[in-house]
Amino acid sequence: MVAPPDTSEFRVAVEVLPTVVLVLVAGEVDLATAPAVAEAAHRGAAEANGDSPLVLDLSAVDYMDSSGLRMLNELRTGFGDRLALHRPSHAVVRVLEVTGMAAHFSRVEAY
Amino acid sequence: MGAGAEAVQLIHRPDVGRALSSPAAAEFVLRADRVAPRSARVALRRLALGSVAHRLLDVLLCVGEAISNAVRHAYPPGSSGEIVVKAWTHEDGLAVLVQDRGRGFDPDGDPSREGVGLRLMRRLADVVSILSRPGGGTAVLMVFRA
Repeated sequence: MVAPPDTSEFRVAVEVLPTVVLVLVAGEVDLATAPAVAEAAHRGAAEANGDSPLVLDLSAVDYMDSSGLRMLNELRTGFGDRLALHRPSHAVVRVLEVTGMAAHFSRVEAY
Repeated sequence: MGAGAEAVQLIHRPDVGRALSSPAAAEFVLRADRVAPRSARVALRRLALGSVAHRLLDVLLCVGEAISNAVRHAYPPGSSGEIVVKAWTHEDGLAVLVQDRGRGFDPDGDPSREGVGLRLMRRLADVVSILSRPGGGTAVLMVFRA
């Protein structure tokens, strides 16, 4: 089948700020797109100085499945306490809560 | 009771059996590749889910997980296969069948080895039945009650 035009195109962007590496994610995070989020996070961290915190802004994620969760868990393993989520959307929180993982991720309100 | 017997019992329940013997509201065939879950979600979003519209996110998640599992596990790396998705809408709920003709697995195997995707499906769908055997493909039936 041919998919109709996207209503929520996946996008990921990295901003290396003086005190934080910010990864902005929008659209759907699944099997096809989760690797790009991890790649962006690693790229941003490599550009940054030393041990900058890594903040994932997930406010515009309108779908995330277990592929996204696996990716988040891998980032958590790699970055430890440096990783924090900013405003995870309902779709993200749903998966974190149903799988019992919500408490394992730090959150930041501002960055 | 094994998962296979559970699925057969389920199909013989009057409500589920009636739903599955009627024509599917949607039926589509996907190539088992990384964009298959998304293609299925796009198709399901266009389907009037009626009685389960308020559970749309959970329906999309469960179907996406079933398809992701088929993409990741059904066919050997480098080979291609098909995934068939059928959906039945009913005033009492929604039934979705995700089927592949891949390598299959033992659904009565060690439950602690179940992936996160299957755990999500079991938590969010009202019924998840898996019919599979090594070499015989896999069928996952999910029911979402209204």
